[in-house]
Amino acid sequence: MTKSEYMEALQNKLECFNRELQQEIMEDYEQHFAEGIAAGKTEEEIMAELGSIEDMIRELPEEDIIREDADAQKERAENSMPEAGRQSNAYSGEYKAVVIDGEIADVSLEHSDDGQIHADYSSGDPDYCYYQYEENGILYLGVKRDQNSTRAAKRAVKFMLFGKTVKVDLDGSFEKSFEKTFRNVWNGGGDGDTKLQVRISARIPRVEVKTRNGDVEVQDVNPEELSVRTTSGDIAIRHVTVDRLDLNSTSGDITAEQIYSGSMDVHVSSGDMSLDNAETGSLSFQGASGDISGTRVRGNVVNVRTGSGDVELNGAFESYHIGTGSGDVDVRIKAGAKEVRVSTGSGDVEVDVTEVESTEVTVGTGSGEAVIYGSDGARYHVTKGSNTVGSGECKVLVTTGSGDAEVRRRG
Amino acid sequence: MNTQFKKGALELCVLSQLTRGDKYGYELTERISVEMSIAGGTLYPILRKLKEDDCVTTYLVESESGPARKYYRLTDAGRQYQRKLQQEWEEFIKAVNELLWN
Repeated sequence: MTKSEYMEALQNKLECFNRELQQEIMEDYEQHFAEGIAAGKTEEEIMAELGSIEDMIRELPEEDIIREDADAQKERAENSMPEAGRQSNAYSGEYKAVVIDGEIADVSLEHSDDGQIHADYSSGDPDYCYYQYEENGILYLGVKRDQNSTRAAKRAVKFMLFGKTVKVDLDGSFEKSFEKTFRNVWNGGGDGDTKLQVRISARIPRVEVKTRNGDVEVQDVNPEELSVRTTSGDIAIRHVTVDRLDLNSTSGDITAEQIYSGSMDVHVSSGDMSLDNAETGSLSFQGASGDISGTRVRGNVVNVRTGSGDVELNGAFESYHIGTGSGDVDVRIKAGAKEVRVSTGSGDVEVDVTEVESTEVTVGTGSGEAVIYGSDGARYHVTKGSNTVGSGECKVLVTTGSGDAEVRRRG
Repeated sequence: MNTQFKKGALELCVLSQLTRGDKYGYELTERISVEMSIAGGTLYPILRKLKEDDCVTTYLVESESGPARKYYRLTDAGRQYQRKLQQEWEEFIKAVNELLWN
């Protein structure tokens, strides 16, 4: 952030206070910057010292507030939400984005036929309720813990303080201020019976869906940008056309099929990812221990990185970049490929090239065993070091540390 | 350091620094930052409140660094208030220490 962005953010936050206060605080900050610069500090250092604008705003007296700002409206909206249970809502379709936070709920996202946005919520868990609010043209909706929940067991929180476990029975005000920090401590797990079904119109440019442990299912939608994040829930996405697609899961699995996108980014940590029938400009997979499989995928560039996860890819890209630590790699490459790079540490590699006119295959291995099969059936054996076969346009480069490698050329 | 601790003590720190002479905002944040990490911006609402409560007055002095420096000067009421807070603070830490060690 630059100073002018910081000052603009400050001005925005001060908008709801009276003019005189706004002016004074702005001047104080300007003066502070001038002094800091004169003392040889950078703008970044000065901003870091001044700290978060929100922290400062909280110190300002409430009686100087002349109107509610967006945050206050949001808080009010969140605090005055209806009862948990079952609920259906419809909103106009005119938002620049919809942000859905399912938390523990299973979320499904589908196409809406009537141009409106619909959200249907049902839950058997009295500790959670549905919420929605609007801010800067963005519709936020989702599931949150009900602050009016009366279950006694959940009104106590345990946390660590100075190395000791402290249990505090919370009254309403305590609970509110502590909730933000400690919500994960007392939130129960998703029991699978909390559901949020959202249908969106075709006119929403950007949609974000996130959950903690709820599953997410998306189908038949086409916003320009779609992002789905979950911690431990699974993601299933089907028949989606988007410019940008982001999928992110820590331990849940991701399955995607019939995807048409300009770019697709997938992050999984321990979950597995499988993609079938997709066309995308660029495809990027990042995984740790989860396996990645892609079948019938087409596009320009594919980038895959995993740690111990295996990679299986069957498709047609111009350029392939695949790297793993100990994971095995199995790639089937079709017409149109110009560049194929695969590297692993201890993982084994199998590359099959078909329908490619001419190739130049280079295989290098540390202690593994490598074999290259030419299209004429000739067999070239490589041990320790690297070997190149052919001088064609499609460059295939495979390197492994201790893994074995096999590259096959088929006519 | 626990932010809740600092929050309550910051006003007393500011007042106490001002008993040692007039200071401008930046100078105060620099001084306090030497002893503990604070979001420097939070001092300005505190100073503003002290002014509204007539604990300090302000005056401007031209500065080479840019805009004029706004100095804060403790009023008699401010001095009294500082003494009162300091006394409360000392009783408070005494009580906490008692509970910590005995």
